[in-house]
Amino acid sequence: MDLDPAFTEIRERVGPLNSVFSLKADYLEKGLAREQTAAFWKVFWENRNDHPTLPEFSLSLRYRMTCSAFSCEGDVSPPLLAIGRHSFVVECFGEEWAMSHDSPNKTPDDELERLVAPGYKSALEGDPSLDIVQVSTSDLKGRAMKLLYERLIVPVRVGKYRRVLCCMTAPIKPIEWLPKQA
Amino acid sequence: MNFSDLEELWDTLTEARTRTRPEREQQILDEVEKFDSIHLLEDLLEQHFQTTSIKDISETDFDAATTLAWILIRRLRKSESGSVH
Repeated sequence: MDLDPAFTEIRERVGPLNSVFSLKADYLEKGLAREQTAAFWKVFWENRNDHPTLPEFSLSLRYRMTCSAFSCEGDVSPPLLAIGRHSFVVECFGEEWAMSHDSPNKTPDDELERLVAPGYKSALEGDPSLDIVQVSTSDLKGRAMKLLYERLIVPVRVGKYRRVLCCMTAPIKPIEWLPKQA
Repeated sequence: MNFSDLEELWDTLTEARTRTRPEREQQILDEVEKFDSIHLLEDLLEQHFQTTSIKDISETDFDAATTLAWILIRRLRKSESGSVH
């Protein structure tokens, strides 16, 4: 049976289905991770016994991180508390989104929020979560993009006792902006 | 934005007009302390204003800094965070 041409066009445009591949720590140990992910991991690992605190990460790393609440409700990712000024999520969704008056606590893509939630749930149990994520999404202006990135989530202390989930996201390849459909 | 958000926003703006700068600083520090999240405030200030202390923010940047701080406080209020104990 022939596929509907419209479906074929969408499939070619979007590519493979959105997916998340979980990785083991040897990805980091073998030096396969991006530089910023490896640096983020190093700080976490060296301070793991005392529960790493946010100031132990350099400013250049904190610029690229996001911090989310240490709790998940339903099937979506935990709410964002802090968004690094040069984080990958800002590159994707824009500074306008990150600084908007309604103080975003999630990305504009609910499907993406659900897709990436299991990694946060795993990190909530106290263990680092490392994934490669392949996803198609769009920004607030409706510009479609394809993303391929690695993501490491670890618990980090932000006060005497309080923890958040800190996430380092590094693109494996640059954002692929898709042409607007006529 | 629902009505309670608007009311809270109005309170914040009113306080900004009637309180002194040290009172506004202390109010923010007290709120952040309630959530045991001082490192998040310090990080926010350092990323945007190159200092970790709200007391060191220049007069020019103070209103912008307090706005960002209150956005953080609102996010903290809306979420539950975990404790290592």
